[in-house]
Parts: sequence; C-alpha cells; structure tokens
Amino acid sequence: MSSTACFVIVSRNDSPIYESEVGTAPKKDEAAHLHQFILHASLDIVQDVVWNTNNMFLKLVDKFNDLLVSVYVTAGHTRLMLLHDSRNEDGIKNFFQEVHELYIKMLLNPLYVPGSRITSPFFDTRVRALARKYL
Amino acid sequence: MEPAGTALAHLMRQRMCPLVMLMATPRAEQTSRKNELGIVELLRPFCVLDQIDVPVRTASELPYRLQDFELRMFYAADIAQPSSEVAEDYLVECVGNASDEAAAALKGDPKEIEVVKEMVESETQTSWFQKYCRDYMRTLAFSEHEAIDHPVLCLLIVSSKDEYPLSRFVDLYNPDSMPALMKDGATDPNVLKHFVLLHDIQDGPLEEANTIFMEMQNTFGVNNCGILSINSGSVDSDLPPDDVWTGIILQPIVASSVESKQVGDAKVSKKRPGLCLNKSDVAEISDFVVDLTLKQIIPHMEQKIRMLNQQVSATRRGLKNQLKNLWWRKGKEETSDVQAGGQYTFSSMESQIRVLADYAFMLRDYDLALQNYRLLSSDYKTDKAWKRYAGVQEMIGLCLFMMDLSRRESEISLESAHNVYQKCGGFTTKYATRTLIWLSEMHKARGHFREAASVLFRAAMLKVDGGQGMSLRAGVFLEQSAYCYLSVSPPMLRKFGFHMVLAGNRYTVCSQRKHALRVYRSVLSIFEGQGWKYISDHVHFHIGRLSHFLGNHDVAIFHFMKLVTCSHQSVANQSNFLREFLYIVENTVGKDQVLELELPIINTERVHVHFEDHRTYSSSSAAAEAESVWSALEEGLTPSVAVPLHTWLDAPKSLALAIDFNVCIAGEEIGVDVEFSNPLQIPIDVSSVSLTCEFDDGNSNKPEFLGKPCRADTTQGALDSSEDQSLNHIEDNPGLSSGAMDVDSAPTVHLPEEVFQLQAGERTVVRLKAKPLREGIMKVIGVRWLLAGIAAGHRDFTISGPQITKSKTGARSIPSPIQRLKFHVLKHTPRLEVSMHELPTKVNTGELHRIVLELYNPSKMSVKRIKFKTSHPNVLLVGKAGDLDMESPSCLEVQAGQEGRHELKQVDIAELKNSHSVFSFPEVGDLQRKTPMHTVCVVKFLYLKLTCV
Repeated sequence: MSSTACFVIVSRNDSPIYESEVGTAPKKDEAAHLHQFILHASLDIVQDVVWNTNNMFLKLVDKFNDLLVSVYVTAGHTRLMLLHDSRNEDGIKNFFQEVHELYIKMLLNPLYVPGSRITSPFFDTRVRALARKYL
Repeated sequence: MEPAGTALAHLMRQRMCPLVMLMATPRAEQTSRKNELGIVELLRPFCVLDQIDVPVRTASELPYRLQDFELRMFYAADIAQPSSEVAEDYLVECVGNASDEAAAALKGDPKEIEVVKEMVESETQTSWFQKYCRDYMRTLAFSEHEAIDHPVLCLLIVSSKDEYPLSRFVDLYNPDSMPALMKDGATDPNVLKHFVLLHDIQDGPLEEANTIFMEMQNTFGVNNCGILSINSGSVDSDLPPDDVWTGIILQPIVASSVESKQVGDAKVSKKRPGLCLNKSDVAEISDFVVDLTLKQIIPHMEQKIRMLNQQVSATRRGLKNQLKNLWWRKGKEETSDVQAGGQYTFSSMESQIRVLADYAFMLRDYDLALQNYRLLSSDYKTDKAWKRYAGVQEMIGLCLFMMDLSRRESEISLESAHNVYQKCGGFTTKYATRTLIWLSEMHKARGHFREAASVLFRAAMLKVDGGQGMSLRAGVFLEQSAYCYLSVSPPMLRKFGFHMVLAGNRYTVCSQRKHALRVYRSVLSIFEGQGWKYISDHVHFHIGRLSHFLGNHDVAIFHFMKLVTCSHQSVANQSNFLREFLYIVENTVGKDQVLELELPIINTERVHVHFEDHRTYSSSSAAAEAESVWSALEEGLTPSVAVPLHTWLDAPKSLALAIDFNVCIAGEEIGVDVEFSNPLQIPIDVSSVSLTCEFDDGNSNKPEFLGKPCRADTTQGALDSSEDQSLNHIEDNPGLSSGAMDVDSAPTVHLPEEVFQLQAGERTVVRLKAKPLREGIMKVIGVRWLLAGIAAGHRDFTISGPQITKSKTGARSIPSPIQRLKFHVLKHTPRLEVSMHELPTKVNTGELHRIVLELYNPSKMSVKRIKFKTSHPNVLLVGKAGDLDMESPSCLEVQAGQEGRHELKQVDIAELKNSHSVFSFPEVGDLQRKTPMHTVCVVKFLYLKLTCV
C-alpha cells in the first residue's frame, strides 16, 4: 500500500528549512505544491493549538480531504510538520522525537546557522531512515 | 447582534416574502413598455415597503406591528422552476458579469493584504456574493415542496384601451395561463384576485377610464378593484423621476442564446427607464402598492392563518388527534414509500399546515410557524417524504435563528436538512447547498467565522451535477470561505490564502479568468518571500498565465520571469515554465523589450576588467619574462624622462582626476569578465551576449551622433543596435579615409557579441569586449543577451564596496569600486603591434632565413621614428624593402650572390658599431603609417642568420 507523507521543518520565522517527501507513493509534480499549501495553511491552526497544551507533540491539528497534518513543536518554536494519510499516532510521535534529536544535533554544529536551510545529506538520509522505520 | 439586523435576515426577507402573481393583457403591457419597463419591473421598486406600521394579528389574540414588508412580483408565466441547465447558465453569466464589479471593489493594489482586509470589512466584496446567493435561490424557487412560493394574490391588469375590459379580466384568468404548480395541484388555484385598470394618460383623460372602473367595481366588488394611471409625463419633460428601476431589474432566467444577448445589448444602449412618468405617477404607483399590501395582502394572510390554524388545532392538536393520526399514518405506510413527492395536493392536510406555517413565517410570527413546522416534520418523517421533510427542517432552523433561541438546535436542524437533501440526490442536492448558505450566514451573523468558513468549504465541495456551474459555485464559496478566515481575529492569513488559491483554481477550471486573476493577485503577498517555493511558483504561474489570456502581457512576463529560475522544480516543470515563458515573450513583446531576466544568473558582483596592454600575445611564459631583460633592451631607446616630483601638497589635485575613472584608449578593446551560471537542469542557449555601455563624449549634440535622435546614448538597447549598424557601415566602406569619415556618424563603442550554451547547472566565465572608438567617458553598465534567441535580457552590474582582486595578468588594480566600470577614453594613442611571420622552428648552422616582420598600427595616430633593437645583433639583420616581394627561395638566391651578401654584412657591422643593434626604420615607412589604421601594413625583411656558437 502506498502512502503519502511529506515532512517539513518550519523555522520560527515561518519559512521551511527542510522538506522531504518520505512517503512510498510515487512522486507527482502537482502534489508538491498541494502539500506545501496544506502545510502552510495549517500553520494558522498550529499557532492557536500550541498555546493550549504542554506537550510538544500536538497530534493531529488539521486535515484537508484525506490528508492529515500532525505537528511537533520544539522549545525554540521550530515546527516539525508531517502530512500523512494514514493514522498512526504512536509511530508519528516516535518519528518526531527522533527527528527532534537529530535536529538538536544539527544545531550543535557550529557551522550551522539556526533558521537557515538544512542542506546536510547526512541529516536527510537519517530522516528518511526514520521515516521508513516509524511511518 | 439582533437576528433581524443581520445579512441573513435580510437575505431571508428578500426570499421569504409573499408572492404576487401578475397577469396583464398585451395592451396593458404595451402601455408600460413606453417606459422601457414591463409592468412587473414598473411595480417592483415599490414592493419594498419600509415606512409602514401595520398591526398584525395572527393566531394569538395579541397584535404586533410590522415596520417593513416586502412583496415579490412575477408574471404568471415566470412562476416556474427553470431547468437545471438554464439556471446554471444564468448563474455563470451572473458571476461573469460581476467580475468587473468585484475587481472594482478592490481599491488600490490587491497585493497589499491590508487592501483586501479593508475590502472585506467594507463588505463591498460580499455584495456580489449576496447577489449570487439571491440569484442562486431564485433558480431554486417555485418548488413543489414549499409553500413560500405559492402566490398570495393574483393581480389582473387590463388597459383602459382594451375592448370590453370586463370580459378581458375574465379571459385573463383562465386555467391555461396558470403556472405549472397550480395545474399540478400543488397550489390552491383559488387565490385572491385583484383587478386593476391601467390607464395611459397620453391616450386620453381619466374620465372614460373612470366609467370603466365604476363598472368594474359593480361587477367584482369595491375592494377588489384598483385603477392606475401612468405616463402623464412625456419623453422630453424636464423633470423625470429618480431612476429607481435600473438597479433593480431582474434579468429573466432564460437560456442565454446569442439572440437574447443581442437584445440585452440593445437594451443597454436605450434611454434610461421611466421617462414617461412624472413624479405624481411614481407617487401613485407607490401608493397603489402600499394599498394593495395593507388592504389586501396582509389582511388576507391574517385571515387565512386564522382559518387554517383553527382547522389544524381541531384535527391535529391534542392527544386524541395525535393518536388517531399515528394510527392512520401507519396504515398507509407501504404506499407512501413509492410515491413520496407527488401525493400531497393543496387540499391535503400536510400542504395546508405548510401553507399555514409559511404564511406565519412571512408575517413574522415565528412562534406559530415553528409549531406548525415541527408538527409537519414528524408527519413527513413517518411518511418518508424526505424532500419535504428536509424543507421543513430548513425552515425550523431559520425560525429558531430568527427567534434567537437555541443556537445548537437551529444548527442541528439545518444540518439534518442538508443531510437529507443530499441523500435525495439529483437536483435536490442543490437545496443542500442552499441550506449551507443559510447555515454559513447564521455562523457569520453570530461571529463564528471559522465555522462559517468550514461550512462554506463544505458547500464548495458538495457534488452537484451542474457542469461548469458546479465548479463555479465551488469557486465562489471557496472565495467566501477564504474571506471568513480573514475576518477571524486574529486573521488566519494562511488559511485565507490557501482557500483563495483553491477558489482561483476552480475559477480557472470554469474559465472565469478575471475572477481567478483577482483572487490570485490578492494572495500574492502572503506567499511571497516566505521560502515556500512551490506555493509561490504556483501562484506566479497562474497569475502569469491568466494575465496572458487577458492580454496583460507585461504582468504575465513579470510573473513568468520569477518562474524561470526555479531550480527546485522538476526537470519537466522547469522546461515547461521556460517554454511557456518563451512562448509568451515570442508572441507579445518579442525581442524589442529588454527584460530584467534572471536566466542565466549573472554574478554582478564579480566583474573583472582586463585591459589590452599586455606585452605579448604569445605564451604566458613569454609574458612572464623578467622585467630586467626588457629594461636592458629599452636602454638607450626611450628617452629618460625626468619624472616631476610631487610633494604631498600638490598631489591631491592630480590624484582626484586619476581616481575618478579608469583610463583606456580609444580604439583599444577592454575585456570584462562576467560569470554566467545556469541554475536549471536543462541546457539553455544564450546568444548575442554583449556589454551595454553609456557613452558621453562631452559634446552638446549627443543625440545626433548616434544617428537616432530619439534614443539618447543612455539607452543601452539603442546604443547596441546603432553600433552594429554603424559598424557594418564601416565594413562596407573599407577605403574610407579618416578625413572623409564624418565625425558625427562615427560609432562610439564597438561591442562584439558572444554566443554560448550553458549546460545544466554549468557556471562559466565569459570575457566580453568593448572597444571605444572615440574619446569621451564610457561607462560599462551591464550585460545583455538573448535567451534561446527569443527573450532579450539585461542586467546591470552592481558593484558596491571595495573588493580585493587578485592581479592576474594584465588585471589592473581597482581605483574605486563604484567607478571601476567607468572609463575615461583618451584619444587614440599610437599603438604598435608587431608580429613575425615565417619564423622557422628548426634551422641549420649558417643557414639564412627570411622572416617577415609585420608592424601594424591599429590607432589613428601615426607612429613615428620606429626603432628596432635586438639583443642578438649578430643573429638578426634587417633586410631591404625590395626583398619583400620575392619568394623565399629566390630572395635567398639573390643573397647567395657575393655582392648582396657583402653589402649586408657591411650594414650589419655598421649598425652594430653605431647604435647598439638599433635599427631606425626609414622615413618611407613612417609616411605610410599616417594613413588610417585599417590599411596600414608595414612589412620589413629580416634575415635571420644563425651563427653557430
């Protein structure tokens, strides 16, 4: 069964710093912008939800047709957002936690400016591996 | 907010008001047509009564007062539900017509989000949406499952010019002309009738009409008759009444064929309506409608409500009746399933209750209406008459809203109405959309914009078969839902943007391009510069495309230009964008318009200037020869100039001049290294790459000297083209001497063009040349090129701040960062280019070789007193001019003769002794060099004599 999953890290100033399609569904050109649109629009909801809970994992925040958006917010207000079409809350939670760890490691890199685009291929492969593992 | 004051209540009042059926003789219609108005249109503006105060008493004993009231008037023929296709076509046309209005509502640049916000708050935007809703509901009116659209009163109008007016009245009301609803038996055919005599003052005085009127009163009863006289004004009267008609005319919902459109156009060109009326006429019409309402319609409705209420309480209220009803209904359960819709005629109890409830609703006795609707809903439910059930649920929801009772309950009623309507399928699904409109308006009225937005979104996603109309409706509702997100506080801009884009998408699908463009443009600011590249690409792409379709090419090109550098897109998309961009450019502006293109990317910071002042064209090892070797040779040749010593006091003056500009020489090329790179994954062709320059020769008659007065030398494009032309001109006339060459027609700068192809992701440095041909000030401004041979691009160099440049061979240090590309072109200085031909690679001991030394002076100045010095005087000897023409072996043969050789040797020895291997060229050569640079070609003989060391 093919699944759609689009993972994006959004910096605190609302611009995406890392994007990857981690789903197993074949990549489509039209999908790229639709996914971005949905994720971008759900930032509005995240903005509200984030202050209503103590958890970093906000669970499902938004949906568009059959595409769901789960969000995890770090202490620095960086948002890890996942667009997916299968309900698997635990897996998503684990995925977010591990990616958060990776992201913190990324921040420890003195050459990485926080809020800039993550271009490290190492990070990318690790995220993809995590996606395979949990999603 | 009071429910009565909301937009929903307004919409409802317009929709849910008593219907007046109008029937008129052709003669009466003709009378009215003198004003470019049908009778219905004539009366319609006065059907909104807002300055009345009527006591109304319905079922309860307590009267209440109505401050405003409304009527709907339709011809009997129009009282029918239009077919689905016609209705959709009509709606599409409505929206299409509203596109300009909607665009006009956006004051200022829609790119600013503030403008959009302001627009939403001022509700101009919602006005066309309300109009759409109204029209949408009109297309759904006259359904058999509601009593709202049953005529309350029938207005029969006969002209006073008609023969036998009394019998005409009787003829008018015949069953054949009745609307379909009445023929089917869904509506009571015995409606209240009102007989009106229409009199045209232009046909004669009122007296004779009055006699007919008296007759009418005798026949039909005093109260049931009315007289109306119009057209007392004339077309050219000075005081036509205020035009209340133009804005109100309802376009009839008909199939919009080409014919009807032409008629529509013709109508527009005509005079404004109502010209034959004067103010007293208008007042009379107004009074007539008020009278009709107060004395006929409202009392009639009151009476009917009371009557029906009595009947209902007698048969249906109370425990006994309920039980009886229940038992009776169970009995006929089997049959009702099959023919759910058609079984209720006007005389059935259910229809009577519905009429009662609807009348109560129209008279705003919501309490009574609600009671009866509830009674009815349980009946319909047990009967499984789903459409009617949904209709009743819908009304329950509205009643609850108007009574400002349970919010939750009203929402549930509407939701269930929506669900049931949807379940019915087919055309009925449209009523589901209507229900959602009510619901969203209800949320809006209560300030729940987020809920309203989601309801509208659902309305948009509702699958109703309607072809183009469906996606159009989706677009309209999506746009409105976007506005709802904007009204939430704090505004949810991203949701707004997303829904606007969805709306734009739908508009594009149903080719409402103006709407689509407006929608896309208003969200541009939300998405731009945020790093969400796919989103902004999508928006730019659609704006570009729509603008192109609408003929706004500049905007289209502007947006496509932002697209062509999309390195993150897939290869297919990249080539797609590029192709579309080139297509637009090719078909619109072509090569004439120079664009600020960003493909290929040019590193405008890294621009290096190279001067043509190197010592040798040959290998770099030769160029790197130590300076001492040269200085030893130059010794004695160049006069030792006493360098004037500057103190720091007089230094600034000269320094200021020196720093201002670089210096270059007319007629000498300077090279500028420019870095091009291709961000795309597809190869691109770049041609006609050249520098653009500004040239100022300090003369007052600048425009003249380019030969194109309108284009001053500051326009780069013009400069180039005229340059090329002038160049050709010179090439065509090689024999032109400097004296004949007109100063004014001379080109100023020669800019050669380069062509190259950039592979995917390639980065390359290209040396572009500029050759000033006259003295003055030349400023290199930027670079221009032709992308794929179609789109002309231009880019200025932006050089700011000091830069450290590695001094490559010939690269000069930079005087000042800003002025680096500004050159002070000095007049031609003598320049001597020397090349040796026939230089052998291998010689034998004692062998003599002829070598041709070519001296070339590319400048206009003549070079005088040329001297030749060699470090190896016993190897290189200068020969005679006559030897030049001879072939190599034969000249050697001559030299083989004893005499010639001897002579040479003598010269050689003499030179060696006198001037240290310096040879001064004879004056003949000098003279030749005075001729223009192109033709100067001085050739000398040398004999290379290799002595074995």
